[in-house]
Amino acid sequence: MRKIVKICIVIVEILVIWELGSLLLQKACLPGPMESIQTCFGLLINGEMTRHIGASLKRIVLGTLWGTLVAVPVGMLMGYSKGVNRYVGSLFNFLYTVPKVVFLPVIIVLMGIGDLPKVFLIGLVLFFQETVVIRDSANSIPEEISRSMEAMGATSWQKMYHMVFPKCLPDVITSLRSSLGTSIALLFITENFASVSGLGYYITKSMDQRNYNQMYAAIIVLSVLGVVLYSFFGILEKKLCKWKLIECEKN
Amino acid sequence: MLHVKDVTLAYGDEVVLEKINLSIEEGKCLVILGPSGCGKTTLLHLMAGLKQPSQGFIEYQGKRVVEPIQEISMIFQGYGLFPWKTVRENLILPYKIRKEKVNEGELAGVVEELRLKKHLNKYPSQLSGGQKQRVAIGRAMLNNARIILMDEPFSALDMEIKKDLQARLKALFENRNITVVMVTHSMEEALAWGDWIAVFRKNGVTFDKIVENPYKDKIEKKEEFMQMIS
Repeated sequence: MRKIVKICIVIVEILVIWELGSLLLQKACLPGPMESIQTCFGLLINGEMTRHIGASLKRIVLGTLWGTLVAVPVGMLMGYSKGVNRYVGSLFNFLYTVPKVVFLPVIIVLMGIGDLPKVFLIGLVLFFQETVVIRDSANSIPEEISRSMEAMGATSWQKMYHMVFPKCLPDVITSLRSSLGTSIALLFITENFASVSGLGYYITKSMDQRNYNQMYAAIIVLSVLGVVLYSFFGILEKKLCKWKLIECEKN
Repeated sequence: MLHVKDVTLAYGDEVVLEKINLSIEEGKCLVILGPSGCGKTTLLHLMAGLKQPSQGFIEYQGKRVVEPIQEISMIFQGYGLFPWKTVRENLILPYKIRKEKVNEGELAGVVEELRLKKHLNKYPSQLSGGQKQRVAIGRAMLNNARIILMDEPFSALDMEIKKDLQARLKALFENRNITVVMVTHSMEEALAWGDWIAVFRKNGVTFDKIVENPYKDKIEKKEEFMQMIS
């Protein structure tokens, strides 16, 4: 109940700031919040925005999935195995600093104009961000725990399954949550390149048509999408990493 | 049962342990006594098969210990429990590692003996030091350990818990005829536990003497024991 009240207060605060800004500026490019919300509902009811939401959701989910699914084993191996880190670490550190988004035109040329280059770029950026977090997490397993596992005669696979993966899982989820802003920004950028669907495309198209209510309606939906995904990762953390939450509460 | 023969461990020019010789009989307790940093824990790691000596060898029932084996379990100073596993999951981990079905009867027996029943669904962060200790011992027992190596097992516990836990564990190990090797820097713990006590030299590296403890369970005889080993 307290949480719902908190959320309501935040929404009211945003709406008040928005309304004040609109009243002060008195410009067509910043309509009041109520008009944009009305437009938003209208576009959702008549289905115009649904296909764009679907397209954006699919891209961000698939991009996050592939980036994470590759980052988890690579990060775990790099963090836990000194040998792997020795051979891959330097190359990884070099590539990590390169801004991947500048390769978008190259990726589009290579992969075409469909969903693939968008999904690929989102996943690629996430892969590098998450791998660093997972590598550091796997690298910080307390020696006693690692020794306990060895003392029980665990195989490498068992060490990964019972020790490295569960140790890294909370950090993977935290990393997903903190990377969400980047993912949505990337989604927006990629959907403005050779695209005819998605919320990013719809926002820019509405701006070009000077249809500001429609533009803000799409911004609202994209923001809600971010909030929903952020909350989803929060629920996932509560379900899968109960031990970590208990530890944090205790400290 | 467990023999340490002429064991030397050196990292380059630095000698950590030199010419260590020990023999431990089944069901007995050997306490390794010495100041911090003298190589006590390293010696336990060698006995557990977690490290290999530069010279000499360690033998368990006629076989060289070159890697961790099921019969020798080590309980670390911080207990080595997995924070992401509940008490039950920590306890049944040896079955998972051995790819065996959990023997619920055996598990229930150990849980009962160590009074862990009401803590089974808790995580290690929700347990006291003494409870963590009992879980670590339970896990070692379910790993079918015949020898338990304990590294400063009571150093983090307060006096009351220590007394109660020590009495309970001693009875448990005696009932199950488990051999114990314990590392400590506390003379009281050495006297309370050791059938044999190995005393490290002041500067470490090797033993000064290994003596049979005539004052087992008689902590008040600390002075006499100190005279005996000096």
